[in-house]
Amino acid sequence: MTSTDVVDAEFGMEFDEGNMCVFDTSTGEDLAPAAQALVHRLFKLERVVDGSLGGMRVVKLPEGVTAIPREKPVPKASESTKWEVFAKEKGIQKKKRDRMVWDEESQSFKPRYGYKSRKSLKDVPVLEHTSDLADGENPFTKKKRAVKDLVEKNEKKRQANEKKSRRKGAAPLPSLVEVEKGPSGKGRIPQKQLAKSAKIAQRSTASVGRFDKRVGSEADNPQPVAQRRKFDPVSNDGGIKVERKRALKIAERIFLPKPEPVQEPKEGPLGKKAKKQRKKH
Amino acid sequence: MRPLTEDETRAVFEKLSKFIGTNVKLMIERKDKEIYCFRLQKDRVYYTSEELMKKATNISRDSLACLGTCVGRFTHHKKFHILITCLPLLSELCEFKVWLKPSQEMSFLYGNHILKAGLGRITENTPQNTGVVVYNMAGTPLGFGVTARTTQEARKAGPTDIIVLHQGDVGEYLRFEEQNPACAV
Repeated sequence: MTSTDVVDAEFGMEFDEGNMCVFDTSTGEDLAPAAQALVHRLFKLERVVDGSLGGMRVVKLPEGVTAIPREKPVPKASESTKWEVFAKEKGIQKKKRDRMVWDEESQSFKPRYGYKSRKSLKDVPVLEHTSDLADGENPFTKKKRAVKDLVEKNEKKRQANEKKSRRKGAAPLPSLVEVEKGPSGKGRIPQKQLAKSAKIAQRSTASVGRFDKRVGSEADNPQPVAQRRKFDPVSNDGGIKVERKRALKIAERIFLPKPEPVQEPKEGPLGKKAKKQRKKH
Repeated sequence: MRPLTEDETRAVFEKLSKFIGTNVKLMIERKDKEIYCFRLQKDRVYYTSEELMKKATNISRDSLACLGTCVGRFTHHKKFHILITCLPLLSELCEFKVWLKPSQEMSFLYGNHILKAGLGRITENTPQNTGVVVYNMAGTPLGFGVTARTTQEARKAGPTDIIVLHQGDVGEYLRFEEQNPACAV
C-alpha cells in the first residue's frame, strides 16, 4: 500500500485512535480499507520502550475522542502514600523477597519475620548487656517494647495515609468549616456554631446520646418529642357551634374577592426617562 | 370519625364551591334550621346531621362503615375527590345544569364525556371549567362533570365536540360497587 492509497482511503473517514475506532461516513459498504487505514495510523504512532514489560516496544494511544457512555464515573486513581512518593523519587523498585531466609546459626531456613523467625526472642536464652541499657533494665523487655513502638508508628503512618487519600466529599460538622477571621486576623469558630456542632456531636452516637456521660459543663440535649396531631373532639355540646362558626368563616374566606395585584409604575420619578431629561438640560 | 381540620375543610369547600358556588354556606346554615356537620371517617368525608353523628359515636372507628351522605374522599396526597354519593346534595344546590338527550343518556352512564350531539339544554352563561350537574330530560340527576366550553361556545361547537367532561355518574353504583361507601356494609 502506497501513501497515496492511504490518503485516498482516508477520504470521508473519521479516526479515533484512542479507542481504536474508525468511522466510515462515505459508503460503508467495504470496510476493509477503513480497517487498513486505522492500522496504518496506529503503526505511525510513536513507539516507546517500556521497562516494566521487559523492554518491549509499545505505543501509547492518544486520548479517545468518541464519548463512550458509562454508568458510573471513572474511578479516580488513589492518592499515593508517603512511601510510594519517596520510592518514586529515589527510584526504588518493589522487589519480591523470599519469606524464608537461611539462618547460619541454626543451619536452617527460618521465616524472615514473625513466628519462629530469626528475630524472635522465644528461643534466645541470653542477651548481651549493651552499654545503652540503664541499670537494672531488662534487655528482653526493651526489645519487645521496640517492636511494639515500631508497630504503633507504622499504624500511625497508615492512618495518616488513609486520611490523606480519604474522599473529600464527606461533609464535616457545619460549624467546623465556617471559620471566620477574628479581630486579630486569626481564624476562629464562632461560639454559637461551635455549640451547634457540639449538639450534633452529642446525638451522633449509637444511643442518640442517651447513655453518654456528660463532660464538665456540657448541657443536656434531649431528643425533641414529636408533637401528636390534635383533632377537635368528635362531639361535645359547645363544640358543634364553634365548629359551625369556623366552617362559615372558612367558607366566607374562600368567597372573598381576590385582591387585584397592584401594578407599580415601571419608571419611577428618577427612572431612565427623568435621567435622560436631566442630561438634556 | 373526627371533625375536619381547617385545611381539610378548605379543601372540601373549595371543591364543593365549584359546583354550588356560595351555596356552600347553605350546607352549614340550612334553610330548615337543622344542624348538619362534616365528619371524616377512614379518609371519607361525610355530611351528616348532628343527631346521627352523635348516635354514630357509639360505634367504634373500625366498625363504622358509613354515616350520613358521603361527599367525597381524601386521597393519599390529601387532595379531595368528590364522589357520586353526594349527587342529591349537588343537584339541590347547584348553580349550573346540563340536560341530556335520551340518546346519550346511556353513553354518559357508562362514563363517557358529553358531546354536543347529546346536549339537550344548558344553563345560560355557564362559564368554562365549572362544575355542572347532569340531568336527563325528565329532570332526574344522572351525574356531574366539568364544562369544557361556555354556553356561547357550545352553541357554535360541532356535533362531536366535548362540552362536559365526565366526573361522576350514577352508573358508578353498579360499576364500582366495591368502592362505594354506601355499599361498604
